[in-house]
Amino acid sequence: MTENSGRFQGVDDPDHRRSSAGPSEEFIRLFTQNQRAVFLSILPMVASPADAEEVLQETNVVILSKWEQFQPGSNFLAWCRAIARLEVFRFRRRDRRRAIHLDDAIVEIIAARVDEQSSADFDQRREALARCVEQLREKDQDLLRLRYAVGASGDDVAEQLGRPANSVYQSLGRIRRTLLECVRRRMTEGGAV
Amino acid sequence: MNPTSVKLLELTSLYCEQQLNEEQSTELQQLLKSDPVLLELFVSYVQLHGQLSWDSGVCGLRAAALCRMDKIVEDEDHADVVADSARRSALKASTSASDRVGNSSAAGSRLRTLVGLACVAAILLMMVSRLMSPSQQDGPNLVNQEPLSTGDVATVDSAAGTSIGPGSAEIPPLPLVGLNQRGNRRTAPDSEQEPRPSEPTGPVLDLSDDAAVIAALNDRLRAGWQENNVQPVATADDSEWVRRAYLTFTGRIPTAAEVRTFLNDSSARKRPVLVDALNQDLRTAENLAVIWTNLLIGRSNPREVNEDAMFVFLEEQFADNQPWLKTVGQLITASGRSDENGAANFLLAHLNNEATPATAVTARLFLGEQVQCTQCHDHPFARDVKQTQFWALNAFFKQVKRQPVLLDTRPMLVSMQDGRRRRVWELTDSNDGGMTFYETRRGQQVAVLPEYAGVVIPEDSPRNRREELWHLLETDPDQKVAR
Repeated sequence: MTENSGRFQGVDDPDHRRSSAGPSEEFIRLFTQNQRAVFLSILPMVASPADAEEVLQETNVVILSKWEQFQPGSNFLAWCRAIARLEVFRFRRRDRRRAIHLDDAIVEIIAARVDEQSSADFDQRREALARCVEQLREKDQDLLRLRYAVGASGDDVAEQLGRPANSVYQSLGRIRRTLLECVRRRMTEGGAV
Repeated sequence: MNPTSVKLLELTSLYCEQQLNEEQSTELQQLLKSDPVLLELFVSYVQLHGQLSWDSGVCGLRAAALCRMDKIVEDEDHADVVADSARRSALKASTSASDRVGNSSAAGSRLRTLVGLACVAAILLMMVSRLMSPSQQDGPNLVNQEPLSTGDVATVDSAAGTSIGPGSAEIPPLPLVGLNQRGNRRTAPDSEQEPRPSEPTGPVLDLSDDAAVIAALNDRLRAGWQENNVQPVATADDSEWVRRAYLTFTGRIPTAAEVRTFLNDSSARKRPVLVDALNQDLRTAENLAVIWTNLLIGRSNPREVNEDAMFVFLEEQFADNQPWLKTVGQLITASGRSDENGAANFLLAHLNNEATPATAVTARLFLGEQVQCTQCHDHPFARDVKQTQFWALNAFFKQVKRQPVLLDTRPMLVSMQDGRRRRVWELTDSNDGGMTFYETRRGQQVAVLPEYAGVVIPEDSPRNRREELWHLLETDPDQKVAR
C-alpha cells in the first residue's frame, strides 16, 4: 500500500543504496533498550496504551529511517522524544474519531514535563513496580491481570466478572493509586528523584 | 494525600480508561494547568498504567522474572549485536531462570519459569520482528546483521521453537526431506522479491538418521557462533546437565535419587538414553500440556474457558505422541461444548473482537508469524506483508460462534480443579459465508475472502471454512506447521 510512501523515499527508491552498512550495533542496542521509555513518554499525551503503541510504531519507522541523523554520544532518548512528539501531534490531528480530551496547550506542558524524565528513572520505577505488585492482595493482582491481558478493557473485565463497570473502574483506580504511592515511596527510599 | 490530589488521580484514572466526559476533561485540564505538582502526579500515574500495560503485553504480570531477565542482558559487557545478546539471554534463561526458581517446589513458580522461558523467547521473537524486515531487499540493512538460524531457537524450550523466518541471506534454510527447496516465506503473487531457487540447493537430510540430524544442527550452531564471534561456554557437566534435562522435559528438578542414579551411571550413552526416557515420561506430557494450555488460552483466561478440559486434551495428545499437525488441526476445527471437547477451548478463548485474537494467536503459535500489527496497517518496510493478509486469515474464523450453554434458563456452570467455577460454552459453525470487511487507515472499507498460501476460498463455497484452513495447512508446501 502507498500510505506511507511519501516518507520513505530512501527506502522505496532502489537507486538510493546507502553506502554505509546501515545503523551501527550501538544504535540498534540503544533503539531496543529505549523502546519502553519512548512508549512511556508518548502515553501521557494520548491516554490509551493501544494508541501509544501505534504512535510508537510510527515513531520507530522515522527513527529507523533517519538513523544517520543521530549524533553518536548524544542523548538518544531525547532525540527519540523529539520525533515522538511530532508523531503525537500528527496522530491527534488525524484521528478525530477517537475522543481526544486534551487541548494542544495541555499536551505541550505534559510533553515538557516528560522531557525532564531520565531513562534511569524509568528503569528504577519498573523494578519498584514489580515489587509493589507482588505486595498486592491476590484479589487485586487478579483484577490487574484481567485488566491488562492483551486486548482487554475495563468494560470487558466488568462483563466477565458480572460487576457494574463503574465499580470495576473504581477498584482499578484504587489499586493503581496504591501502586503509585508504593512506587513513590520506594523511589524516595532509594534516594532517587 | 490532599483532596485535590485525590480528585486529580480519580480523573486521571478515568482518562486512562477513556471514560472522561466533557466536564471531567475540562476539570482535569484546569488542575493540570494550575499546579506543577499535580502535573507530575498525572504523568506518574499515566506512566504507571503504561508500565502495567507494556509489561503485560510482553509477559503478563509475572513481570518480576522478566525484569531480572532484562537485567542479565543489560549487565553483560558485550559489544555484540542486540539479537545476539537476546539470543544468549534466551539460552541463559533455560539455565539461570531454572536455577533461580529450581529450589522452590511450588507449582506456581514452576509454571512461572516455564512461561517465563516461553516469554523470553517471545520477547526474542518480538524484538526481532520489530527490528527485522522479512523482505530481503528493501528496508534498512538490519536484516543482514541478525542471521538467526533456526538451529539456535531449537535449543530453547521446545514450546517456543517456532521458526523466525528467513533471517539471513548467508545461512540457507535447513534442507527438507524429499521436497523441493522453497523459500520459507509465502510470497504474494505481485511481490518484488528476487526469485528463489526451486530446486534443492543443499544435501537432502534424512530425518530418521539421528546422527545426521545432530551433525546438521551442530553445524548450524557453529556457523552461528562464528558469524557473531561468540565463544560457546564449556559443555555442561553431568550434574548441570541432568538438572536441565529434567527441568526442560518434566518441568521440575530431578530428585536426589534420580541425580544419584544418573551420576553413578558410567555408560557413554547415558545422556541420550535419559532424554529418550524423559520423552516417554508421562510427566513430560503433563508439563507440555501446562505450557501449551497457558499459550493457547492465556494464563489469565479472560474469556472464562475450561482450562482443565484443554489441559486434559493436550496431555493426551502429548502422551500419545500425536503429530503436531494433527493436534493443531483438532484445535482449529474443534466444535462442541467446552467441558466435552477440550480442544474447543482454544477458539472459545479468542473469538472476541471479530475473532482477531484467534487470527493473531493462530498465526503466532502455529505459523510462527507475528501478524498483530497488520490488523491495522501494512508493514512499513516489507512490501509483501499486508493488512489484507491478516483479514484474509481472519475470514476463516468468520463462521464460528460461541454460545453459553444453559441449564433451564441459567448459565450452566462447571467446577475446575482449583475450585473456580466456569461457564460452559459451545462452539458452533454457521453456514453463511460472505465477505469479511476491514477498514484501512484511510477509512476505506475493504472486503476479503478467506485466503491462505495463495488459495482463495470462494464466497459461496459449501465447505466449512475452518476445515478448509486445516486442509490448506496440511497441504501447504511451505509446511509452516511442524509435522
